[in-house]
Amino acid sequence: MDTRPPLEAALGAFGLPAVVTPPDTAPVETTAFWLPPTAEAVPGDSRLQRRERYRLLVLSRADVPVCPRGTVVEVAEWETGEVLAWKVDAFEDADVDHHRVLVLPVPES
Amino acid sequence: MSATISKRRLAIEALVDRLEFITQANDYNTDAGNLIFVGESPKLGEDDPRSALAVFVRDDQPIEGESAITRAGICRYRLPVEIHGITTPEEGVSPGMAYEGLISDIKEAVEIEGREPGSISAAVSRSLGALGVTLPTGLERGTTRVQYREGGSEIVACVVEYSIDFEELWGHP
Repeated sequence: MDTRPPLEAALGAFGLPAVVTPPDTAPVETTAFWLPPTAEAVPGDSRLQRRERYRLLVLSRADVPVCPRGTVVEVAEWETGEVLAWKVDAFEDADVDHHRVLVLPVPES
Repeated sequence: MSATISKRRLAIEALVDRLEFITQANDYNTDAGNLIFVGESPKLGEDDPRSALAVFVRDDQPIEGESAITRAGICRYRLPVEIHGITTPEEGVSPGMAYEGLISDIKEAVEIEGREPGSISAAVSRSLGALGVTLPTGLERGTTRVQYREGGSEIVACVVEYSIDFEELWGHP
């Protein structure tokens, strides 16, 4: 038995409009939401560290079946509401109904 | 009588003076010389400069083949020093090239005293500080280590080790 709440509930409560563009693929309009960022001091075993926010984004597999590294996600910054472009940099986790990805801001050109 | 400024301190000050030369205005790859920590282990935040350095002095040790204290009351010892650097790659620069740039900055700044912008001066220096602070060829480079960028993070880091050889009279550090 799967006791987890359905993804739709989280998307309905916390979801933000997003445009997801995997490399060499047409943009997809969807809904995404942020998980609380984790702040970690890196490099972990160094005496000189910078505390960085790791930004975690959840994307529905129903709308975005594939989400390779380099995928660009345009979604509002949680704090400011400003729509920014983010690039998928790493996979934190994957589930049957969603991707959980670490993103970095795309530098403004 | 004024307080003694030890050779160790003079050498570390000279090392930091050289590291402060690392700015892009001086034709280095980074501005790491604008933020240097000595003897502290900081955790920087998002609002701090993207590049920084920290100097750590390790436990000293006798120079190979000698005891720490010679019969004539002269102490010769080697002081290992680690220079830690962090930076975030500029746009279009790979993480690997970013830490290589930082490593190059540290080595040039430490080993070529007062390199002029745009020059390829070969005025290398094998000692630190004024004459007699360290032994004449008392500055040696050790190993270089790197820290790779992790997924979701932008930071790369490196460590360049040096050793500094001193000769002190007993009671006159």
